[in-house]
Amino acid sequence: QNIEINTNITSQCPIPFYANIANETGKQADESFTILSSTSSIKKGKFAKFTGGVTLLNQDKSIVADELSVNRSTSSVDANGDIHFQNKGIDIFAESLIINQQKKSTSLTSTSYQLNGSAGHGSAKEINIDGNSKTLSFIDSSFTTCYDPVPDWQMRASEITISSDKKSLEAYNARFSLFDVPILYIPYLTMPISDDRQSGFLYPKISTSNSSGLEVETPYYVNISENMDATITPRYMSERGTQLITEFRYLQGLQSGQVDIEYLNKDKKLTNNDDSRYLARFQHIGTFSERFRAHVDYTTISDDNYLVDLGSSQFNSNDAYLYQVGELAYFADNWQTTLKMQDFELLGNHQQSYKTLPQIEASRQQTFDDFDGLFDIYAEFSSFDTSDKTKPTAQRYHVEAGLLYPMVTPAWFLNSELKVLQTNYSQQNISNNSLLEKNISRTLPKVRLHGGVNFDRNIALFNSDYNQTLEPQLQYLYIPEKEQNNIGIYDTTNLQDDYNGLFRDRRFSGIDRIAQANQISWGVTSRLLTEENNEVLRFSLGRIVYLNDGKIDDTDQDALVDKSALAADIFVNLSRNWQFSSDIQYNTDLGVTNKSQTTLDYLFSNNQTIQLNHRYARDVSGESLEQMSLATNVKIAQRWQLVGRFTQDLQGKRSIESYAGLEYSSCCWGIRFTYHRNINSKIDDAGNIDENRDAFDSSFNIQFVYNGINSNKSSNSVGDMFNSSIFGYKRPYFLNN
Amino acid sequence: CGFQLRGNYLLAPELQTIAFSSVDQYGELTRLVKQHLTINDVNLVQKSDDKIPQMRMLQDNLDRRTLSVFPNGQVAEYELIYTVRYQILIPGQDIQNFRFELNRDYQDDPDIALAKSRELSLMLREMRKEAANKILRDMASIQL
Amino acid sequence: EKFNVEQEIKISSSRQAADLKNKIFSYIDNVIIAQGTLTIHAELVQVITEDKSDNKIYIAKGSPATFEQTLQDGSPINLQANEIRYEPSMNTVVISGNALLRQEGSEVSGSKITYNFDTEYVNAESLDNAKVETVLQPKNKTELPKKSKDKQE
Repeated sequence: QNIEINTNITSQCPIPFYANIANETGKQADESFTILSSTSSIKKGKFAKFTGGVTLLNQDKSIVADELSVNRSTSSVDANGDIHFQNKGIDIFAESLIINQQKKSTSLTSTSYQLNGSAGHGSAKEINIDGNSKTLSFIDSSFTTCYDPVPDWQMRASEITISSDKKSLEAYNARFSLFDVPILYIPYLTMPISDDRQSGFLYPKISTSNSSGLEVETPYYVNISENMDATITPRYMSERGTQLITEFRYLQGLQSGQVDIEYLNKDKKLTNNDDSRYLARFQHIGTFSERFRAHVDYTTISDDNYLVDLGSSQFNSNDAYLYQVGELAYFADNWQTTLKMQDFELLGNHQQSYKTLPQIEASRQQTFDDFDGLFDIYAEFSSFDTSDKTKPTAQRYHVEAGLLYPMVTPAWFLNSELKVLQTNYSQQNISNNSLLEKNISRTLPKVRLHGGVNFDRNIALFNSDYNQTLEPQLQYLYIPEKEQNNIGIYDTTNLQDDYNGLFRDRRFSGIDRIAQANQISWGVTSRLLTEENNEVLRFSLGRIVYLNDGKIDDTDQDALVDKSALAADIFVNLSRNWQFSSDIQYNTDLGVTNKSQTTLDYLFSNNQTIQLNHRYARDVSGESLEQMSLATNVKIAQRWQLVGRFTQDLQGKRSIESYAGLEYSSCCWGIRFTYHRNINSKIDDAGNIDENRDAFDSSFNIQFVYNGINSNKSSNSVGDMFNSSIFGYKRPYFLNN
Repeated sequence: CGFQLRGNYLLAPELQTIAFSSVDQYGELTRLVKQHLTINDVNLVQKSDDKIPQMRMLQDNLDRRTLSVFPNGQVAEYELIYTVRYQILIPGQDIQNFRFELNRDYQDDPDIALAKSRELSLMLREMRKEAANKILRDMASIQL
Repeated sequence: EKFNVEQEIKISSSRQAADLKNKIFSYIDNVIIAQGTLTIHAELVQVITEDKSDNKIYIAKGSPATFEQTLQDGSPINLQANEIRYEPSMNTVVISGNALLRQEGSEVSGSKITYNFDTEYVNAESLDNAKVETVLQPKNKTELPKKSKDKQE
């Protein structure tokens, strides 16, 4: 249970709001000029002059002025004296205004302006609006999102153009000043003004790190067409050179996708290797109709240490492999099928993994009118291939058909399942002394009975009334023994036996091994629920008892085990600010903990949190891990926010990551100082890049954040900061159905 | 010790008929929730007049967070975070938005990447079954 | 052709009354004044003759009283208000009381509107905080064929 961290600061920073002029008059604006004034004098076809609190409404623009005159022959309008021009994108206050109907252009002089729905405002010697208010250009103008007399930050530019559909602002000869002290000059720059993806970081981003030295990033937003745009970001690194990061996005009807290319021509820091280093990722999502869906996510990378040295916003710097998947899915009313091509880009010299070219799955659920049961059939064809020529390849045909009979009442439930699993292999490239056979057929029945009972009682605890539930569950699973050494291992590994795994119907992930089973799993859960049915306490305990003798526990070859580890988990959220959760898998035979995890959260005032977490795993691919981490997010002063996460490896007695972020954030801007020291993956690259990388990468980072550009999106600064640590959130998976 | 079999039905009578819709009509979570509702004797109808409650499944997504790293620094354990969103509209009330997350630990192993991705899809199926169960349990606490 | 104020004026009505002492003639009930291309419809018209200059002032009242005329370029102009004050000698007509003027390409409504035949100027004012409302059609719209105005408003 992680706590939603979201500090919404823009709400205390009100944006000036100008009432809609047209609504105030109660008139409907249309093609013609509707003018309200104290006096009006007209010479037909020649000119018309209006004085006294004049209001003009025309299409989407409204103008308030002291005096206004319309020249019919040249079809131009000019007004002066305390003018207020308003359209749906902007409010402009000016001293003079000229509209040229033929050229459809409006120009105002000595103006001040306020963007609509955003804190962006400023002044300009002249503002020109062309087309039907599509592009606004500000001549010799200023732009800021701060409202104090001396704005914290401000940009002056010889010309700023904002196009409402381009959702970006371009500035020429931009001069940035901080508290009126000029700090930066950029000849040309673009800034997103309403695109939520770019979370409003004021560029350039400046940081230093021991792996790349001084880094400066300035992205340019390019709007290619109605449904295509791109962001090009040159990233200068003093110790490595300049990398070009481009992201191209397209949306075409029901197809949408993104191409990311990160390219560094020559990495100065690498001594004995001068090929270019790149990362390219292609993602595409397409629906052809309600029932057809396609998805591609393909990544290729120049060398295994790319992520460690250069990092990427796409992946975690210590990811071990990248996905290469293409999938086509079809959904009918009560059956669906997917065709999937799956491969992996491994980082570091790991065993070459199998790939499925293709894997076709189909499943169908058939209900009956007069019978409560459900006929379920699952079929799969997989063709396994590998680039490691010493390993076998195979085609596997698998069908799993059976009857499910669920009986559910509030008091109890009993799901019974009877299935037959039929698998056929044809295996090739079998090395001579291996046990594998060319053609194999395997038939296994499976019986599963899973029942549970729900008990309730009212109980008074800590002087309030609760409803306590007691939910015991029992499952019996039977699969006969079958010799399977003649089948290769392609996509099968044993699954963890935590509490969630107690009531599974399998011990392995793929189908190359179907474990013999004659076992009973028992489990009991008790919950404490408030009147509003909110869970304030939950405790679960359970284990699997094997009835078949001589069951070999795969992780521990020697011990003959007749029951699984005892699995328990507990969750306590009795008071508003304290939350405790823990789960453990305890091996009673060996008297040792297989795995445990404990988290204590303290939430005080408006979502300030301190979280303490401890993890222990006795055997993860042969290693034992024990980690303790402290994460905190505290508002230390009115505008200062401190974020920290420190993770200690208790086995190796060293820090894995320490991350501290301090952010000053006012209504219109923020500056963020972050210190980040994290362990580097030591990947002994099969290639020849054996650089002596230091074990840790530490970096110091200054980042300007400007807020209030798009008022609807509050800058979730704390969430951003947490995400940039190696323990940050990433979304590598796409849920196709 | 005071425990008796749970007597009342899980869902209030007003929720016995629901107009059910989903942003992803063929999604597996949608199928599971429909199956669970039907098993619990809820009558699902397509279109709704404004007298019966409406339920709409929104997009679910799966995020990943590193939990622990190997001594060589590469990721050892991930936390899978499965986020589920849905809306319920009771006639005469405002729309109620529900969101919850289910978490699972998942040990990664680059040497058997394909087997681990099969494990991932198995865990996703299990989390979706648990999500469908939890939606049913949470619906019992909806204020009518 | 230009409107000539000296043209002969015909007035018809159901009833008439005269106040010889103040030289005021009154025409009552569906009064119609016609003078060349100019026609006025009203419920009551008082014709006042000024002592010295002998000029006549026509004050028409109605709910509303209406005034039509054709401009030099042949396009129609319509005025309507509670009171219409036509002074041929001054070449003006002044209307007041939810006054409305419609001519090709524009429409003006306000408390008081003055229209001068000679200069074809229209001036509108509004009393206290009411506003004059003017609607100017976009340029290309004015070339539309002249809409025939329904006489009886």
